[in-house]
Amino acid sequence: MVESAEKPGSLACVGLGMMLGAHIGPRARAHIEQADVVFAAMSDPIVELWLQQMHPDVRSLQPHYAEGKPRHQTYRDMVESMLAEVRAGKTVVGAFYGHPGVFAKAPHDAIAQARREGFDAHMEPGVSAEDCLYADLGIDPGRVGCAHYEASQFMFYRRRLDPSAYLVLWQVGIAGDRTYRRFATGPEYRRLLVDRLREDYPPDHPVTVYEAATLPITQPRMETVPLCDLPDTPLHMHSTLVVPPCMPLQRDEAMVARIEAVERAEVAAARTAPAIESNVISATPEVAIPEGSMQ
Amino acid sequence: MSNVVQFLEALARNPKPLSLEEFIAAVSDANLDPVVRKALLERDVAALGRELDARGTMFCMVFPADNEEPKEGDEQREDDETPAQEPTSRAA
Repeated sequence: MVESAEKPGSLACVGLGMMLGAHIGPRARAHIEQADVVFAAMSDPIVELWLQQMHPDVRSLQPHYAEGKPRHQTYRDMVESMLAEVRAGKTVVGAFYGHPGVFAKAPHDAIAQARREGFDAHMEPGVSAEDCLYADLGIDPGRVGCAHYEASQFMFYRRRLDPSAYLVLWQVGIAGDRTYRRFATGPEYRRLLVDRLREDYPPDHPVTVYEAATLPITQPRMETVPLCDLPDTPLHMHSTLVVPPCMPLQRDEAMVARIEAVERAEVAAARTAPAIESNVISATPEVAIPEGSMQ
Repeated sequence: MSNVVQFLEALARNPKPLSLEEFIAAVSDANLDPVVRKALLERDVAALGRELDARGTMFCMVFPADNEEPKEGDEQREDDETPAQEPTSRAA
């Protein structure tokens, strides 16, 4: 009798979407149902309860957070929790709220580490808070463009801001935190963020604090305030700031002129090139078609 | 507990928004504990969480601003300067 080889462990990081029950895809659900163990990072406690009903072994990653504990350590601990079970030969699922790869470090790190160690690892996309934001606020990121930044990173580094596009700042509730140990920063930090934004936007520019709905009995938070009022606007860990454009698209006449030159060259080339396709219709029947060109 | 979670899931899967009357009827028909029913009707998520013994505080930041971690010396200096900040918990 041939003995079966020990089953190798594997990892799948899946997204459950934002709202309990509304956004989970069939593949994410199947991953969970087929897993040996599920690690959970949800944004809502009742959503966590819902996930616990989907599988007998759901282990919350919440205990890895702690007051005063550096979040980089929290993310490392999350990764190690999942990898330990993968190494033990388990089919492991990391279930994350939203999309597991959007503003989420631990899933990417866990997958990369699992692959480095020779395990199969996969990320299953989910409906992210960004997707909910577009739907709830009626924004098409393709219309005038949309740039997304983590709020503190936006403050720490100079970014080339385009005020004719949307700007979305994530984790704005901890804007300016350099310790990675806080779960909220206060008005003084937000005043600095407003100062930065005031370089490009007027003080009364309407900005929207957005929080996706996580339960079907709640509504998303879509609170629009003047930019100057942001420091005193209550913000949470799950708050996102949406800054709409403050100017129309600025036409690049020099680039358009260069495109026009390319177009003219294409037209000129088409006129002089011999017709080689039989479906080329001549506008003037008396124009001679070169011999052999209709093959 | 499973009843109310299943109720919420069924509610979420239905794309048609319920009128207030329909919502009240659905909650009444769901065979739920009276306290849970009251929390649902009042859309009191905090009370619902307490009744379900859900986790009190959820942390939902899974992304650092910098991939570079603060150096040990910087962490200590920032610790000394860090005022106490209460997390804003989703569940009251």
